[in-house]
Amino acid sequence: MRCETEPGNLGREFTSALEPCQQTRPESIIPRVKVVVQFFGPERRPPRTLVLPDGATLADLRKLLDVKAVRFAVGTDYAAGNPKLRDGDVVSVIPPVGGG
Amino acid sequence: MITVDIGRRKLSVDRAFRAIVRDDCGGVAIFAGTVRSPNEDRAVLKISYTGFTAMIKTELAKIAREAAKKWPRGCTYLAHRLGTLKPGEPSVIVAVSRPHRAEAFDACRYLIEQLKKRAPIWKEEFHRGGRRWVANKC
Repeated sequence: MRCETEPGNLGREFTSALEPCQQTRPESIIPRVKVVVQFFGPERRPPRTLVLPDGATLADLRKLLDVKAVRFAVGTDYAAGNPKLRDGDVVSVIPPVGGG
Repeated sequence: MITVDIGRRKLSVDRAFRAIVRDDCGGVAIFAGTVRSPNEDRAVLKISYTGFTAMIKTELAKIAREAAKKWPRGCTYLAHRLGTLKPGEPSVIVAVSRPHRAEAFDACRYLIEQLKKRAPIWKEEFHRGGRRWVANKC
């Protein structure tokens, strides 16, 4: 089991179960951001919760998602550029829209 | 005043008119978009609209504020229905009141064009024997 701070462990799916690395290094001292990703329309699927290293950006998150979306939202606003993600952010995958 | 109405309730042109009419605005423009059949030569049985409701409200309010800056004075009403609709049923209504007809037409056109580009709403079209997601061409 790899710890969150090890290279290559970007975007570990969050689980509530304690893992070996967390037993030796309390979770509270590891800088990280936990984000929820939600999907709509043609990309619809259950939401995912991901734990990313502190300083992770939307582009980092996007690399972990198998989606064709061209737009993303953070909260209820379209993301502009490549924002740094904050702990607790809800990121939405926005496929091409069809309203009207 | 800006009114944004998102939900499963049937849309009403009369409700839209009542939301925007005011004494100092002599121009009222109302656009209603309905489910069309056929679409691209295929008979449409129904359309299912889904969306990210909280963000639709945020985005439509932004669009309405943009229109209010470009064409000041007057009211704006933006409504989109979610759920399953049959051909002929209205899925969207945009209504504006402005002092004169030119601003009313321009604001109404701006609002529907921006809504179609930006509102996080998705449309799944059902045909005999199949279905498909349809994105706006804009």
